[in-house]
Amino acid sequence: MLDTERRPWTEPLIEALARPAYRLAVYMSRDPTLAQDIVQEAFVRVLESPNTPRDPKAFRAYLYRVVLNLVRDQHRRQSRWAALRIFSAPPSDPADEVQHHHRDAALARAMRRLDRAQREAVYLRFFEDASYEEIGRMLSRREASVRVLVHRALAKLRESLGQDGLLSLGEEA
Amino acid sequence: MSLEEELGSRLREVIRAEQRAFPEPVDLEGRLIRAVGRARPGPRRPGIARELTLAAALLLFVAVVGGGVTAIHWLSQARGTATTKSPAPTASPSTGGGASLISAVTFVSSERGWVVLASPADSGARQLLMTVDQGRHWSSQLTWTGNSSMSRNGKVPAVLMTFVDAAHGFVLDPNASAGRAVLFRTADGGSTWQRLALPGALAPGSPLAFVDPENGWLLADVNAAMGQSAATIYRTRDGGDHWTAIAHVDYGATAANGLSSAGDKDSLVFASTSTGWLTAFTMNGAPLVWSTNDGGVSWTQRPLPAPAGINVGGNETPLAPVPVPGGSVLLPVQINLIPAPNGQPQTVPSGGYPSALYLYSSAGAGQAWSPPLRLPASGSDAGPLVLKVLDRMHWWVGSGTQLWSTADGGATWSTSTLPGVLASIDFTTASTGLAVTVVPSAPGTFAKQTTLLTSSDGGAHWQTVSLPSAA
Repeated sequence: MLDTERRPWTEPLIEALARPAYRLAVYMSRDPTLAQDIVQEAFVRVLESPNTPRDPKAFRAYLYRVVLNLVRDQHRRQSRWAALRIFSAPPSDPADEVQHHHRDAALARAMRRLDRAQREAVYLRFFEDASYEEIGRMLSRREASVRVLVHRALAKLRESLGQDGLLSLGEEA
Repeated sequence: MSLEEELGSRLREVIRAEQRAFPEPVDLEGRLIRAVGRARPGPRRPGIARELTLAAALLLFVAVVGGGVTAIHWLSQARGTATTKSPAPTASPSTGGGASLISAVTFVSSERGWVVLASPADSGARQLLMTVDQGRHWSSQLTWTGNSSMSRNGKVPAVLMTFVDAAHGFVLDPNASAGRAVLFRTADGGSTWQRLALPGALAPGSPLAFVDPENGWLLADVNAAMGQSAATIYRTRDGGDHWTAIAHVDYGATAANGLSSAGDKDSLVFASTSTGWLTAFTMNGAPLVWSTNDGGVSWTQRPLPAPAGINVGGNETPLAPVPVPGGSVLLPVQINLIPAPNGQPQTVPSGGYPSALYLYSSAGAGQAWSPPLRLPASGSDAGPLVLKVLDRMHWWVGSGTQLWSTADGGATWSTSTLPGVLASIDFTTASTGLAVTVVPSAPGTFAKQTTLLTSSDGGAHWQTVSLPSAA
């Protein structure tokens, strides 16, 4: 139960950011149950901190940083947890696969070939429309470093698509 | 278009497509509010405590989701699509037990729920209130003018309400405006409400069923008389914006879709977009049950075995079927216990014949029904029989001030006493539930008072929840 002092500012943040944070966590972890736990833990940690920013934009950056750290922690422990995991990501629906554009499927595969930091940066940049400065706060990197990270990720995506014979994207670039 | 713009556009689609493969959690916000509320600002708690908190929250979440699959149903008919913005939520101080009558109540978690209040003299004023903190504070979300229309429990004005998740809910007043039903819908947890049109005159029991925010069915145009009825089943795939007739049977006819005009069509329930049941009351025999496996287009009638050891001569009222996790379904039937004819004149007891609840079950989604189990409560004019089936094991049945509960599918029962006559009962988990009790008045009139109670121990003990008076 939220106390009356925290309720007015925490509840709107939870309502606004719970599902985006969950989507970030589930995309990076590919485990919906784990993603829910991570989001809960992230909110608890962030709101327990006396230094939590109340500005929504700054709060989002802070929250996402904790979410991504928790996802990384979980992946580090994955071998220990593997035997205990009950739920796993559902297999892709063959009908959906057929419906998906061939090139988009290749792009999804290419995304999975990126390293974790690159995938995080690409997600935040292109799905969350976060600025390089915001991503820097979320990933604890300098803005210039984020730009390099995204640039290299895009180059790697182009390379992967080229290897799959599907490069038409951004060939002018 | 630059590489970054083109790639960004396609990446968004790719990421969305991958995310759609994972389910959106139910009431994630409520879970977080609870978890954050338990935590206190300051030093970090020990790790083990946090793990236990996470485990408890996860269990609660799973239980809520498990209980939340129960299908939803009600009645109504309305015109217009005006959207109403709720007043800004306020932490309004509550008044005591309140003279307002509780017409409907539903909770999607132990802390987040809604009640519909009616004015005590039933002037027609209806008010929907929401709480996110177990009823400590309430905010008004919707008001409208209803009409005197007794609910099936015979105690309060009829209003039916359901939430398929924390955001999507429906409120149905079957007799709100010149005898026509009114259906309201929210997709944002009650911040805004939209008034929807319905295509036909609704059946009397539970004629409206939604399995998710989009997929719903309506049982309408029954026109029952002399033990027969017509019926039209409508389907929506967009949350009630548009309805399409998918099955129909005329009065006195049998249709190619498997429906017949036998019985008074009463309730329609769906467990999924394919599997559903339709029930009918008969004057001189067992209730009728049809099942569908194609979303309501074709139907098959399935016979119910007669209960053993009692005289069955009609007076059997089917309640709405209850789908339970795992694919099975339960059908409660209230049976008046009338002695078998013995050639001698019989005197009807002054309070009417007592009644009992029998629970049929089917492991095959209604393909075949097992002989029914008699539940412990007996009904009378003192109060209606009330029933809640959470899953295959956890049931509650009540009558008067007595409540029976089982955690093993009816093998053993515990009893408790409530501080008033039960009018309705609901549980969101095996431990967390709520009840509405009434101070009865003369038969056929509204209760003098209603009280909302909550339990956190499966119904063994109850606490009163304060509500504001109706606006």
